[in-house]
Amino acid sequence: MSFLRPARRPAEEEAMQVDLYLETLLAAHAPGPRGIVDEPTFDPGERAAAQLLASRLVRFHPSFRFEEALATRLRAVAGGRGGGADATVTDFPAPPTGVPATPRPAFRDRRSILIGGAIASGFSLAGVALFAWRVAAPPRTPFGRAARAAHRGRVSAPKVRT
Amino acid sequence: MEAARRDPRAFEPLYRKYVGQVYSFALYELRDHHRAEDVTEAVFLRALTALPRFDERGEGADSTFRVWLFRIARNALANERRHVRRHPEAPLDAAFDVAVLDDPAARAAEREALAVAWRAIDRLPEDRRRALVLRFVEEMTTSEIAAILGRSEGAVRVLIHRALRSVAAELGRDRDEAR
Repeated sequence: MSFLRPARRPAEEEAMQVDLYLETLLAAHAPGPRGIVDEPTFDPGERAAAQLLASRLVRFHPSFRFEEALATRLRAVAGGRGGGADATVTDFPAPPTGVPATPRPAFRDRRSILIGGAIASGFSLAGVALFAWRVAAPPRTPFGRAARAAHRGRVSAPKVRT
Repeated sequence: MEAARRDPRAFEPLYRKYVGQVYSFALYELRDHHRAEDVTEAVFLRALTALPRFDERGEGADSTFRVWLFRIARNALANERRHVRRHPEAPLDAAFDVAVLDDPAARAAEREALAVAWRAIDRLPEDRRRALVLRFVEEMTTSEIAAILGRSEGAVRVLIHRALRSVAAELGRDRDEAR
């Protein structure tokens, strides 16, 4: 009986070397401390192919609209409820104008989502929060304070029928 | 993960973390944005429904969930492909609308490099292409890929090596034609 491991076939041995190389190659592309990439002993053409794929095969992200619509659907499923009778159909807000870090596919046709009940987009919540903050926050400038005082005066003044 | 199993409403962080990966995997397989979105939707709805049955294993909880999710994706893609086979497939590079850089010269070079890479993996047999995408795009380990594809780690290593060899040969042909 032998305690030695069975010898690997040449194809497996080579594949193991390639695998080790890919491990260090992909780690070198990742942020953070870099590993030492040893000079590999396998074919330079395969090495060049690995380097090309590691640098050029990008990860795609779905459109913002799709991601949010699916998040909404998952929330509804998780909450065990769909849109209520008081729900209204509305277009999802346009995506932000910032340039995404990775190439994004073109947006597909505009989809509609349900707003109402438990369903709301991150945009609409952020908009409501911003508006509430703007109303509640004390004005920073003298002009702002004057404008608000004038507005309060107009609102509280008795209405005169003409 | 545990929180999401107890309360499905805690599923959203997992969804946000993996939606891009699942979509990307589907897009490389199907070469069609709409179909990739449909598969992504089916995967996460199925995952959410099946979450109580998910059995988290000891090591690398994060990657265990990812493997489970990608197994669902693999099955969903198999179903979708049955439909796709009845329709002509678009070449991989035609499916991507890439505009990454503002500089036209750099953009042209980038497009060409991307086109070369895509052309190379586009001609691979299905299983080799899938293994390469999981390795290079999703940056999965051999053991994760093995668990997703239902093969041994050794078989996956050989699969990736053969795929890489085919890509290298394809790139060599490309260079020869350019001369």
